[in-house]
Amino acid sequence: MDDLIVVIQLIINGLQIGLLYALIAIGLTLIWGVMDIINFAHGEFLVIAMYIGYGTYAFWGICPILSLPAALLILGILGWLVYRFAIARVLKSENLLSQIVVTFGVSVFLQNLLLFLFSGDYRSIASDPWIKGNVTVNQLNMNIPELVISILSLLVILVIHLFINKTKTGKAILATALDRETAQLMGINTDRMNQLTFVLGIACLSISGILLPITTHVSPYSGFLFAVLAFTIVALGGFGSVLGTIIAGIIIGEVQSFGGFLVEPSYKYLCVFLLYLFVLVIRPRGLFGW
Amino acid sequence: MLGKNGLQAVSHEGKVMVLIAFGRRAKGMCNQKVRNRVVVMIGLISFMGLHGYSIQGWSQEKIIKIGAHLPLSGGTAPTGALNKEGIDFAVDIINNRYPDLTLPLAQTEGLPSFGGAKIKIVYADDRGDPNVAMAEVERLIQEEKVVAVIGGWESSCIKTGSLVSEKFRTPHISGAGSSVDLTTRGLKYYFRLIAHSGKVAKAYFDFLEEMEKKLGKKYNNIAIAYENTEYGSVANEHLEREIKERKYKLVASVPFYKGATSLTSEVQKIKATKPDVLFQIGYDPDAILFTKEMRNANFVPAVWFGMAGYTSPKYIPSVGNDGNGVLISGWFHSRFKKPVTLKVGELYRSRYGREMSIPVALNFMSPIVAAEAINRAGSTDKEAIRDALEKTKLTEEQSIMPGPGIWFTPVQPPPAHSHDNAGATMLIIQIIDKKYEVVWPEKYKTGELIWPHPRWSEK
Repeated sequence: MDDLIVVIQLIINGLQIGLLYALIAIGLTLIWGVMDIINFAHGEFLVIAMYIGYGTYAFWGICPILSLPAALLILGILGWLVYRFAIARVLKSENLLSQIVVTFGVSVFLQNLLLFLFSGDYRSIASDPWIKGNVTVNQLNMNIPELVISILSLLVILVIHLFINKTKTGKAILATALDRETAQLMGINTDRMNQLTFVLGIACLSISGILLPITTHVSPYSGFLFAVLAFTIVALGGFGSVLGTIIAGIIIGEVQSFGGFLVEPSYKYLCVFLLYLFVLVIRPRGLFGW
Repeated sequence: MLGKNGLQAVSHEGKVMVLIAFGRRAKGMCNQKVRNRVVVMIGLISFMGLHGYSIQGWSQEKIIKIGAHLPLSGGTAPTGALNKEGIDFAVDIINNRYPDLTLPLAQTEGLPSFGGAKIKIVYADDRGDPNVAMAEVERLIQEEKVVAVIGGWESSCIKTGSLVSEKFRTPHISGAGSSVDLTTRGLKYYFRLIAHSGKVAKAYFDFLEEMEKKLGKKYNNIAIAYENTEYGSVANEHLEREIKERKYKLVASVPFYKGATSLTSEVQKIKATKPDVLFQIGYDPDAILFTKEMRNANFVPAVWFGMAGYTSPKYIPSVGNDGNGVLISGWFHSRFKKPVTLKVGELYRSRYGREMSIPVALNFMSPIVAAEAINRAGSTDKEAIRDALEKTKLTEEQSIMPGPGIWFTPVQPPPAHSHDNAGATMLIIQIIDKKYEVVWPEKYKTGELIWPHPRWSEK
């Protein structure tokens, strides 16, 4: 019975962390799928959202969820600025290296800016006024902040899925991702679609970012591992596929959970990346890629 | 000589020639004067230049430079900043007169053997990275020409930094760095003040056995979670050795990445083994994250020992009441009952407005020990300083740290300890109502022990 409880607990943990990863990766999959740009600054944008969430608590003592509108606005504007003054210029270039370098440069700039503004200190929300505590059902434990993040992740992913597949703008984005030239011929303003995609991709990070300081610590370096896992999820799920991102996120979460427990916690990421390599060898375009 | 009429009589060309000749003569005369003046000036300047140092020396203080490497940026920067504060505080005591303090050099201004020369610390940021530490210690020695090196926080940084000091035959005194390996390398120039992890492990288990005797209960199953760099790995080895020797049962030994963003798997693994006692060894971010993950997993053992990161200034603000009950191996507490410690603690409080914490205290004694040795050597020759350090014998009242004083073991072949502080003693400190209190040994107690560890609902 104890073993069954442990297994179910691992499944729950894996699901929770997987949905969080999926939410972080969804923005990246949109950007990568539509614009063919690898956003190396993805982790840093997440960290900015984390600082906004932490700051809400630190300055006003209120739950970071209330900072969501501000976080969406700040990240949206920041995303637009980065697109307008950095990404848009290199999109016209045929040189892939310059596209990679520009987002890498943005990443280095943002990380050092955060270091300058906030120092390298680790910060964390000691006790959120609203979202705290655990729910224990029959020895199975669910942490409420992680539960809230999982539910929000599912909702956001669903909204994005509906937006992409059911709205005119979403279909225009999809069309741009599938065939840019044909989309232009059809009268779609692909530059505007790129802008919208980039801003949307960055804004998605605000939802996960503002609540993360409740469960982990925030520092200018915190975004790196999340970004690496997001890349893995996008590649595993298939570029541009929202459904693929969700499934891949959950798979990665479960592999991390079970791998860490059954093999060794320090090998949990090894298990994740081994799976990733295995899938890529068999199916290079990912599980649901185009 | 020519006279006015004479000049008028001379032709224009002649006048020009005369003027040129006169000018040349005048130039020659002027050149000579100028040359003389220049020679005099050069002589004067040379004279001043040759004796310039002396002139400057008469009007400027003598300085003896000691280098210090600390993590002033990166993940352990908050602790590094506190270490620096401790060093600056100690240097102020050395360089100025504090007649009430029984610390070495507190009653004088500067170093008496050097006519009151002041100590100046040259800082280097090692970023908590062993490779950077190596480069920075070399820079301190080669470019800054320091006579000794102090500091370091991470054992991994001290390990590499001290190798560089050894290469350049420069005394290196660290107040932190509890990895046993640091003093079992047979190094001649490295000295350590803090109690090493072998003593830490011993203190933990002496305390645990004492509690078991008092309560008549055995806490047999032990789990360890440790960060996988030098410090954590070596501390884990010593804990496992004590577990084996004292016949406890190790139910889990879980390494994790220093600075990881998720420790869910690690906590789940430990929780599944149902330990009575948990040791968690990690730096600042690890301690914070581990506490949160333990809360998330609704898991708390009967006894929870934390090391290193639990003394960070960020720990209690980040976890609040969740940290209550954690037992920490402490090398210092500002209110433990020792007169010099209480006086220094009071002085620190009046100056900085807060309690002197472990990170402040750990490197506080390193400049004092270094300066005392330099003063006793009466020389800035590094060999003389090294020899003086070997003969260091500070009494209990000459050190703010717990224990009978400071003196170093001789250089011995590995695995024996070389230049380890034989007087280093451990405290067991508990977080009670978000404050650090000494709960063991009885001699130094400042608060009453909470036992067993409170449940999450009680915090």
